[in-house]
Amino acid sequence: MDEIRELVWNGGLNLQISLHPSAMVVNHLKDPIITNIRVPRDCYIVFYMKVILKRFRNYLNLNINESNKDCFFWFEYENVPLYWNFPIGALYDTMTNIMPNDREEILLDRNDHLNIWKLELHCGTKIPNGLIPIIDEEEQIRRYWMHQWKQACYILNGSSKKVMSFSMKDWQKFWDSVKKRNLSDFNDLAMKVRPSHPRNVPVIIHLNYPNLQKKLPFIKIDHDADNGHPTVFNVLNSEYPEIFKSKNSSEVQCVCNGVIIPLEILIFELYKRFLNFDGFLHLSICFSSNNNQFN
Amino acid sequence: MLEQAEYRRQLKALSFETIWEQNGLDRDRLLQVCSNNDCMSIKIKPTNSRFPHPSPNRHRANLSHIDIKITYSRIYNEPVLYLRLWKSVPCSMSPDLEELSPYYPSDVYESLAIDKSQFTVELQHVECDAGANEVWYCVHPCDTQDRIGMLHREQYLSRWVSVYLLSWLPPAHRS
Repeated sequence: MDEIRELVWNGGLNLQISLHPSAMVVNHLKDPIITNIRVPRDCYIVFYMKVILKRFRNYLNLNINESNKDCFFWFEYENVPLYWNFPIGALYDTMTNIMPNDREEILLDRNDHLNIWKLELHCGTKIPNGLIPIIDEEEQIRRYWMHQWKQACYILNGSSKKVMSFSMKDWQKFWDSVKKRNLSDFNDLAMKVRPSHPRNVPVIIHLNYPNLQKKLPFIKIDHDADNGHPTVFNVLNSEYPEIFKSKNSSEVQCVCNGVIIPLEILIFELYKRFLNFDGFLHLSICFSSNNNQFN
Repeated sequence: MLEQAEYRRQLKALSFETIWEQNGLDRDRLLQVCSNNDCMSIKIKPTNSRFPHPSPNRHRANLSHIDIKITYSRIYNEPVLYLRLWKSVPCSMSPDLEELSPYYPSDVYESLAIDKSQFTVELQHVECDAGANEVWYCVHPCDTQDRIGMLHREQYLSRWVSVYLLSWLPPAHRS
């Protein structure tokens, strides 16, 4: 299990970010302003906002060292805004909607030899609907993440007491483990929240059909019943019966942290190995590129 | 903790206008109240004295109104309070006209006179019934039961309204 956790934790994404004209001091239509960055899959993209803005500082239409409370920055993929409050890897799996096995072929068709996700950085006084504006920089992001954990803890244990009893030092260590990518510290604290016999499993399902949506299903574990431990298929079939009609469909798959997940695996076993840094298990529904029904 | 069916029953029976007036709040500030099965939507008018202009050096903007949403969390099995602040700003196309836009003050606790030691308020991404995504301030419900208590369960929701909503309405909102 440790090896899988390590692989999941160390997964990365190559991002190529171009500056949208709305954010430029002058309109460089001839030469796109771009920067490349590799980020962990299991993090919020806004962790890297400062680094990205710093690289673009000579081209930005405002001074990033000054307070700009009325101006917001956000990322878009093919004109769709990215919700920074989900792990960037889950957004990639969902928004590109390409099955991991098809990626190599599709990228070669596009003459891309490296798997790169191309995003745009936008700036404006009106942030797109549904995007959480960053008002309080890293502190706001940390508090948001802490509340995700409180929620995950409540779902797992029926109360938030386990995380509420964390000391300030514990929270700082937990947050640092995410920021500094220290898996050992992360596991130490995550294990304090995760019971061996959970009541429910915190899962978020992402789907990009017909538009970007998410579901937070209620997945109860009945430890006394013979069939009390649901599989990934049970969960997906219950939430999306029209998409997950059978376990054997090759047209649609469940992807988690960039990996196609066997549908017969128990959801809590998957959670133990693939949980994300916010305490939830993020599942993306991906369709085969040959599937005309949903693409 | 309040089961969803009981929450619905108490929400249906809740007369928000009556609670508002019983608490000495100015009826004129209550712009709208409507509800369905799981949700009560309220629109209130603030008094400008409590709300500083968000950016005096840039646009001069006034807080227009506050949207309040009482809904139910299936995770916590508790009522949840959501808030959205709106400001009016001069319309960019026609400065004589004003348009509404969401207002995110740098310190929402100070702006709404909410006691930071009592409540945790965070911006949250909320998916609405119609599938649209919106951003609301959420007053976190994780220790609701400890605050409200389990005595007189039939009045759980009205006690919750007093604690989570009416307790922080600043004096300037009162008549």
